[in-house]
Amino acid sequence: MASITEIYNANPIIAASVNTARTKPIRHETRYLWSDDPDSKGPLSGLAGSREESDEDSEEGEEIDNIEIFELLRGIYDPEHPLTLEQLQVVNPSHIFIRPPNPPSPGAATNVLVEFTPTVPHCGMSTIIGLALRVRLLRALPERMKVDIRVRKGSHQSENALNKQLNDKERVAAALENTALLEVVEKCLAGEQPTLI
Amino acid sequence: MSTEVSMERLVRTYLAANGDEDVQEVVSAIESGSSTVLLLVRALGEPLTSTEDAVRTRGLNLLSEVLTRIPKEKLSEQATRVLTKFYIDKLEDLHVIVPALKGILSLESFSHFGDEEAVKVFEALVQNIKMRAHVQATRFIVFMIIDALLKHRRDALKSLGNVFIGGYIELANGEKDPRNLLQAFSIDRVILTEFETKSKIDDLFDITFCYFPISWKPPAGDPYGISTDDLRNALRQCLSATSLFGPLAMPTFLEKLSATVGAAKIDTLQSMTACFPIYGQTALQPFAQKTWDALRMEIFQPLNDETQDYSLKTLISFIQTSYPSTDAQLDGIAVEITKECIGLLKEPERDQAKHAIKTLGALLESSPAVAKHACGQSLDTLLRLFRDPSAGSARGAVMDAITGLLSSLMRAAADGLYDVSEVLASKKDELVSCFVSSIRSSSLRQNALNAILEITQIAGLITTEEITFMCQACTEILLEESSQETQETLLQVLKQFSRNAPKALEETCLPLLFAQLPDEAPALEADEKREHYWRILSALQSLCLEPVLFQVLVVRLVTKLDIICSLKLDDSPEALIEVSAAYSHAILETLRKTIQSKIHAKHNDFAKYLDQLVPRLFSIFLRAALSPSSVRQIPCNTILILDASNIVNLLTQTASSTEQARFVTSLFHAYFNGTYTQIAYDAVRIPKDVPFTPFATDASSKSKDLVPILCGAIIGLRKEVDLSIDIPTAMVKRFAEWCLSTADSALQRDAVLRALSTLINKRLEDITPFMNETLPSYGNDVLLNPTVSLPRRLVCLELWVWVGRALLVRSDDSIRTLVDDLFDLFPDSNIAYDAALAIGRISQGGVDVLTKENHATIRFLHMQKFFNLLIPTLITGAKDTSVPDTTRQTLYLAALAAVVINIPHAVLSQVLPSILPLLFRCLQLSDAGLRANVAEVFAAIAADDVLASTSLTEHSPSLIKALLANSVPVAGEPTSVRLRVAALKSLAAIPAAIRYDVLHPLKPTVISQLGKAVDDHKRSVRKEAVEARAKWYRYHG
Repeated sequence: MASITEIYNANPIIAASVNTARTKPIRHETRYLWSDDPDSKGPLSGLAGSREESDEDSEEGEEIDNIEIFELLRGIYDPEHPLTLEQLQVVNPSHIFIRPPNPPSPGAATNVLVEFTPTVPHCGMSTIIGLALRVRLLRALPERMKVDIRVRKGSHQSENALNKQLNDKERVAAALENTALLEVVEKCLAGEQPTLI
Repeated sequence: MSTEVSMERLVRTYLAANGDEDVQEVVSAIESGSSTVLLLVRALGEPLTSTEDAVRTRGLNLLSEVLTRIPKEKLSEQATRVLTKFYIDKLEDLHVIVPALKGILSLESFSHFGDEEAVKVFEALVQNIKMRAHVQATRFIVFMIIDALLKHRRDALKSLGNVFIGGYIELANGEKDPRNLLQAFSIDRVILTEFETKSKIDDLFDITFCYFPISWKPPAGDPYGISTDDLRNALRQCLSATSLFGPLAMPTFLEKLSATVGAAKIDTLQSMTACFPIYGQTALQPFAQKTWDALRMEIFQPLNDETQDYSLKTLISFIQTSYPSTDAQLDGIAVEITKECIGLLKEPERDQAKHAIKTLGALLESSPAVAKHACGQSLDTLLRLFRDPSAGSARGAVMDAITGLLSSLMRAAADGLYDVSEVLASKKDELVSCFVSSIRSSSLRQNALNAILEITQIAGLITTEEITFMCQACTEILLEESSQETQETLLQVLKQFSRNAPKALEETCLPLLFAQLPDEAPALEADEKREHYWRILSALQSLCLEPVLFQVLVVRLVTKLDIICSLKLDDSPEALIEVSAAYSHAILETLRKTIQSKIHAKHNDFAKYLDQLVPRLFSIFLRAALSPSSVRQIPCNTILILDASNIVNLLTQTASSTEQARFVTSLFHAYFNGTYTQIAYDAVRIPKDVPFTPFATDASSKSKDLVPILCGAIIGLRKEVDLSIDIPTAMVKRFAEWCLSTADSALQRDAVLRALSTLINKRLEDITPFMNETLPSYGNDVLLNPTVSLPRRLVCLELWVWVGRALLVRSDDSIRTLVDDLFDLFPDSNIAYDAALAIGRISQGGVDVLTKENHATIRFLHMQKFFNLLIPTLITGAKDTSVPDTTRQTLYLAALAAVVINIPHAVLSQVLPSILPLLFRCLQLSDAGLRANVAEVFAAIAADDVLASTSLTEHSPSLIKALLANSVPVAGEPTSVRLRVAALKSLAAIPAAIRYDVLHPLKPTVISQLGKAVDDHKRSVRKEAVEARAKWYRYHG
């Protein structure tokens, strides 16, 4: 078990949770004319034919967007505090960018860029955070999406080295071979505070 | 003389056979008076002096055993004394110690066992028993004896003074077994609270605190039934038993607090919280600084929230004990803590400030003097910070900090710790004006609303005028606010106002809201206007629960509805009718949901609305239904009619039998006799040219559509209410007949079937002719008759479903015939599949119709009973290979898949072994809905670890393959979101339930297949896939 005794930021600023509830798309369809609340109840309410169920499985797709990726990342725990990356504002929906293939073709890769902000510029946990983000997205996104993880410009003193490290396939693979490191990452992902000290 | 002989014979028999019946014979002999205990002792003379250990043991066993069984008055004072002496002597004989102790234990409960004996017994125990030399069971008896002595002969032991305490300490010292410790702790507690312990306190401290904190864990399977918490609580009772422990305990507590983690740390904190008030101010004083240092660590660098919460509770107890009086000059640690925390508030958005607020909150919930000091200081600081022009972005954090303090003050007020209103009096005006000005700024709005919510909950602080003032401001903002979260908080605040001061809401808020509701529905394209009225209505719905506000709501909304529905629509486009109907629907739903919430909150101001609300609604619908004009009118929309019938249902449910009877009689008169004046408001406006006869064969569709309103009322009737115009069996028959022949839409039919079902359920005794004659004739003539048209047969099938549900819920046996009728349809391919699904629909039970609220007759465990009847038939059918064609088997599988989702969990675990192979086959049915049922059942099974590991482990590889196949869409096969979500949920639950070694060969396949599922085109499916894949990645040996 790696022993890391120095606390890099002992008194971080805590942000309120980001509200990612999607605003309902306004469409000129019957159900939006009739109700804003799909689950109305009453002994006779099922009779008029259920308007909601019919289009539940419509073929209309819902593309993966930056909010959805943020939702995958928000619950990851910081390796140093019993707080999530969202609370520490390490990740932020507006710092996640998705670029679909141009021109659109089914086999081509979609590029995803996730920028994160360490709480202090000398944060030594940034590699672990970056690794946790990468592992999470490796597991949660389809293969056709190519992910870049970077620290936000100007937020870390060794920005370039860090970015290189996080996006070097072989170094990432090597890091994940290290069971101690992987265990820390797994704990961050599982929403537990890893025991570093 | 003969009795003596017989006793000796009995003793001999016992010694030879050692049987329980021999003991019983001795007992009977003594009970009947034909012998005595002393004679038994004499008869035992020889065995008890035998040189063979086993014989002596057995002999004494007999005596002790007899003592436990004979009546307590059978032993004279003399005999008790002799026996006590006798037993005490036996304690010297190591081989017979166990029976001797048992004998003493039962002897102790005899009425003549006195103080003298108690003292002798205790002295003998101390002298002869070397606890460490004995096994747990023996030591346990010793503790039992001491416990019993303490219970019955406490004064005798007290008179021994230190001799008793010293002796006991010697016995108890070094005990390790949890069973004995539980007993020892309860003895310790009595000694510590009842005895003079001052001179022995060090030793007592040693034999209690040596166990603290308890780290023992029950072994797997827990053979003793003792939990860690049992021991902890028992020990805590001892630690907090005497103030004498204080000076000794404090260093121990502080040392343990820093040395422990997890549950032991929490135990330490809880014990400190419990002990401080007992130890008292003097004991705590010398350790004040150290205690705060230790608690500061736990609060400001918390291991987790739980530890922090317990530490704050300990802090409260600490301060309460340290500052008992209310008006003392305040100095010392509390002042220091306050100062330290206030220092941290200077940077309110930082982590440490949040902890500081929690700490200050704890002070506010402690003793009055400290609370006053801390409250004044911290609010001053925060308000100054808030006013500081350079504060800028920190204002939100300051407001949150104030909210945190207010919520502690609210708890202090609720617990009556001190007069919170008085403490806050000087700050109240500034707080309120600060909040009201902050809600006008969008960046602080949410924070300020939270603060208002807290401050209004402090009992007796805020006046009605202040509420009116805040209410006005909040309403203005409600109308312009766009963020959903803030709106919800606003409504919460207004709702709080409506409870404290409904008048304020009625005067300021409601008029503004009602003025926002348009008299005409917005046009089809005007989405924003529509969103607006939805928002206003949903606000009204959550605000108008208080009786006086609900009254206003009903009057205003019904008037609005009347205006919309009376629009002249002669040449309006179809779209206008539709938007008006949608608007009306929103209004009716608002009424219904408000009533529903009021029922939920157990309000009882509904009675008058059967007379005030229903006639007005009925009149609106009746006017449209009887209008001679051929133009479509808004109230003819069936959705609105159903809305109305749901409202009628709720109001009927809550009415008393008398009110129900009166109400339903006037409805019957309207529907069956055409005399509606009693039930329709403003009847002169209803067209007179067309009679209202909805049940007549030649009735117009428009009038038939009004039948659901009557049904809504019937569904909610109590059993005892008389149907006035018909005997039940005639009514049921009339309804059934009407469904089969007259009704001309599914909607009319279904409403009547629901009403019919509730009548059958509640009045089964009164409708025997219908059940025995009418129903079978429908079966033969329609349901099972292939020459009848299919639509008519399907209506009849629907009748079977609803009759079936009525019988199922009351566990009536006649359901068997009914279900058999459905199986009889399986050979008829035209209707077979519908019949299989119909069985599934019956198995749903009473759904939302046959409910307790609707006064249905519901038998306990009715689902269990039904499935015990049904499942064997399904299993036999699905396995039946006598028919070469597999369609028949598939039908049984379909029926199984249709019912399986409704099987209660307890029944499922019983039948699972027999239906599991069939469920696998069900996952290959073509109907995606049925497969989704099965997948959901697997998710439920997998979530139950015990059930899953016993029943699924063996078949898990094939289960996983079947689930994976259903988790991604396959070209040409029907699928659904529900199916994929359920399959993924089951897959996600499996790693927790099945051992890794069983499934590890499948891990790569599962992960790769789930890699496709995370690319599903539906977001809800992706979410489950991500969850499942993460679980499988973490699945290790």
